[in-house]
Amino acid sequence: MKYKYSLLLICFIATSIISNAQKTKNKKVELGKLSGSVESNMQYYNEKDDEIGFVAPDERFRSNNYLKIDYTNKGFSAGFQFEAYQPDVILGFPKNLKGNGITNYYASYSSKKFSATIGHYYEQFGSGLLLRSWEDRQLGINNAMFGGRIQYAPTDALTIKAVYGKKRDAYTTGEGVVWGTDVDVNLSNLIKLNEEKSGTIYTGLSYVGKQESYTGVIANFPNVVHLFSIRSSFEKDNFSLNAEYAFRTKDGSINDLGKVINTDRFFTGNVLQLGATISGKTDSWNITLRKVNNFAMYTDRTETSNQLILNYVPALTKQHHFALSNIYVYNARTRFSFSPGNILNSTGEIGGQLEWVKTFQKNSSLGGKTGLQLNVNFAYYAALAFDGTDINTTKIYNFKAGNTNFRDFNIEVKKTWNSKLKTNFSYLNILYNQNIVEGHGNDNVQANILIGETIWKLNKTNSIRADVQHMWVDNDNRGNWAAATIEYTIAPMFNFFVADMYNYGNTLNKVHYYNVGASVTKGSASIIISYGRQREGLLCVGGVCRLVPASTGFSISYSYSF
Amino acid sequence: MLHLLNKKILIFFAIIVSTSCFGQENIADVKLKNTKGKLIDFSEVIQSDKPVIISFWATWCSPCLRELDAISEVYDTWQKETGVTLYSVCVDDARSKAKAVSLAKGKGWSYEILYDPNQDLKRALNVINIPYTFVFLNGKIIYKHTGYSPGSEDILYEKIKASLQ
Repeated sequence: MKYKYSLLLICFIATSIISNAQKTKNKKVELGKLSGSVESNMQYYNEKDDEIGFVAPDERFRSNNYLKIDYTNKGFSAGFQFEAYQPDVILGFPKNLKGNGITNYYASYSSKKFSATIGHYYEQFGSGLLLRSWEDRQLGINNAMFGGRIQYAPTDALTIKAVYGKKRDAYTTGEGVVWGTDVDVNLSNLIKLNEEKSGTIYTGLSYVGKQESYTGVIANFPNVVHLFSIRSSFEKDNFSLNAEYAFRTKDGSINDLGKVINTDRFFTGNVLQLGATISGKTDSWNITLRKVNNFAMYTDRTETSNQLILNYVPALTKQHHFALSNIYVYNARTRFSFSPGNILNSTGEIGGQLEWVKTFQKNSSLGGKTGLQLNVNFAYYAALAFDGTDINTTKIYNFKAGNTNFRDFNIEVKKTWNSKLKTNFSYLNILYNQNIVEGHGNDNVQANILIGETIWKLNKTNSIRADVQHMWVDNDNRGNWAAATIEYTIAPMFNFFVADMYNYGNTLNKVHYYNVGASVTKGSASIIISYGRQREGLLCVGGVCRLVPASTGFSISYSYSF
Repeated sequence: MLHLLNKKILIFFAIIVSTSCFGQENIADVKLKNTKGKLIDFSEVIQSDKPVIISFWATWCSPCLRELDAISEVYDTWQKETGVTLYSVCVDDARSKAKAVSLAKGKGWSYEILYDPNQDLKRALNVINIPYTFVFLNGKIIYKHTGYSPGSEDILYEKIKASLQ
């Protein structure tokens, strides 16, 4: 460990010398550029909090820290990321991150047409259905590929990529080996169509292979799984259309505890997705339809956490940003799921989403003197139907809808009254199949949510933001909720806030989730200090949003980039 | 534990010392798609001799939407007075990317949208949390700020005007 710290210090000294040298030397001597960022999230937990059944872990102070340094010199770049989870990870983060070390490092070269990277890299083919490696620190996700990548773009109309590697898992990598290639083509440009007249057509093809040895007793168990996809989009004026189909070859089935199910019946998987957008001058429609059958995968087949995810099949629903609208959040059903005893309970989902955004302009009947913004969104997802819960005999349907998993109708009205006052009104109606999404509870939780928000600008720099929220709930023991927030901001540096969520409808335990804090921001640096009880959800403070896991205590977050 | 903290503090200061020595630009070699699917070279976007605002946002980030709404109301005036151009870099991933363009059009924003669905540009510019706004002039960063609070847009505009004097 000492060695690593010394290494870091040497890096810093080196960076200072290089950058100082740059200032003093002749400008023609290009010594390259250094940049980077620091982020530190610290938590000090209360000893216990009986009301929410919270007992502090052995280490009450915990912190997650990230340091990223990149060096670039013309086409060449190299860098590393150092992570420290000391004395232990913040609750809710993967336990195997405990400790510290250089977790990512890379070197890469790029010219106008060609680029190559060795080490850790982030990659996404198309929308990520076959392959995505990414970082999301709030979620504790960093599944960077470790290996090599090349990209070649002979013309503006054609990009070819090839990748090889294993995915990062904390301080090491997973077992599964991944390789793949992606081709992205602007067809209209390639065959010299007049894009103004005939529109633009894009198409893409991807292939990904995954290999992981299997040493169990099942005969003919697939060591290698192949994934294929084809995507296409058409865009002209204010209209666009896109379609994507993905397929994968047979693989063994894994139960929700990460155990291989002992059967010689193997299943393929597929995804079909269609989308369209039509826009007018002041309004716009967007529709997405998607069907997923057994498609989400890990590079290591027995993984069940957020680590070693191979591909990205997100829930296609609206991401809400108020406290109460983030309690019943849909989690897409994208792979086979089994109840205890290996009873099949989900094979996939089918559904879609429709969104309408409209601005009623100034001096129109609804817009009034200052205009009005309307956003209407509807999403519906059902389980894919299947007959029988025994994996050896079940019949799987590819397009037939079964029980409802989730439904969300929401409407948001934003009104600017004058230069000082803005209001925002939201209504949400949610049907949530708790049993399917969380694995327990009621399959017909109904929630109605009303939210009012106002932003009042007192003068050039001082403003107050306040919201009140209420949620009526049926078929969940926790019952109704109420919430409110008040934020006082002195732009651009200071922000103070008090928030509370009160689960007053809970017959067993009425709990206040209170939170009080402040933030200071200057340039690219920001520090947030808060105290309170937090339930998992998106928390937006001083204009910065993060996903916070449940806890009681103090938290301090610091970030800076250069 | 204390020993460890001391080391951390030492490292922290090392960071501050070394960073204070180099505040130069980091011109990222990243290509992003616009809403028409065309690849845009980021290093070319920021080479303009007029100010260029790069604003990172996502459909789920309400302060981001408030900032871009607020700028949208005065954008015409800003453009006339300073020739500034704003590129809104959308970091929505596959989950909400398709809705970003309809949201922007429905809101009547006239900014060009660049998609950064796997956060390549966000990472290259070392953006940690959004909203995050940069102002570039002749390829150099002249202002950057994380977060948004009502009134921040006026400060942003003052910086832009000051840079042209």
